[in-house]
Amino acid sequence: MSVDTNLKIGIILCLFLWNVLVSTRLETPYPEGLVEVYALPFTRILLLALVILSAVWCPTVGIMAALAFVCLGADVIFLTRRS
Amino acid sequence: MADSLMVGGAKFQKTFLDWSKQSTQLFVSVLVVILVVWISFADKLSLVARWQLSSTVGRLLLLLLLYVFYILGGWELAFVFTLAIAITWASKPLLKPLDVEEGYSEVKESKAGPHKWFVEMVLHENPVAVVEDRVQTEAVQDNSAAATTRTSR
Repeated sequence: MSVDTNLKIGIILCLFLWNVLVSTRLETPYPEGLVEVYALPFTRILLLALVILSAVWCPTVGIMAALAFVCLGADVIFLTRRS
Repeated sequence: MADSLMVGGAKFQKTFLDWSKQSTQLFVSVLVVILVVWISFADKLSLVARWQLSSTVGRLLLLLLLYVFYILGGWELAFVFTLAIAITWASKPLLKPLDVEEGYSEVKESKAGPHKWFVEMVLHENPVAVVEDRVQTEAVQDNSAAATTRTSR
């Protein structure tokens, strides 16, 4: 197998495990730094750009990254919502 | 060679097709930028908009739009729009937003001081803000012009 294929499999596995971790817990223990950094507009756009680029590179990686992004965004919005 | 042979309507048709292709690409590019801003700041949308987009009609409309975007811009545009939909639905308000202003809306919040109360120390509480417990209320008043004779007045 080529390096590209190995890299894809590795990233898919990592993202899959991360998604299982964050989606099977009611109160996901996100690192505080990640939550603070997510509040910055630049970070949000950067993460989104990464998701789109990963989808262009490999659709499976893109879907996994999109799931992780949506979980993070939804949790942060839920935890910081005022209504 | 083919361009030189085209005259009249055929030439105009080709020009129109080229222009429509370019305008579609421009349209998709602008739409992607708008969608990126939407995804990044979905929580800044108004409560009413988020509620309406998460209702049955709103969801059906978004799914229809998703199909239209897929036809127009391919899977890349549909992928970005799916993210926007997911984030918007995830940030749906818990309660239906009301037009009238709720009571106790003027309650002030102040940052918690550096010194903890005894109860806070015992219960290991870490308050980040203190909500004012005194609010100004007014009795319910009937300002309508119509009067009823069944009152005791």
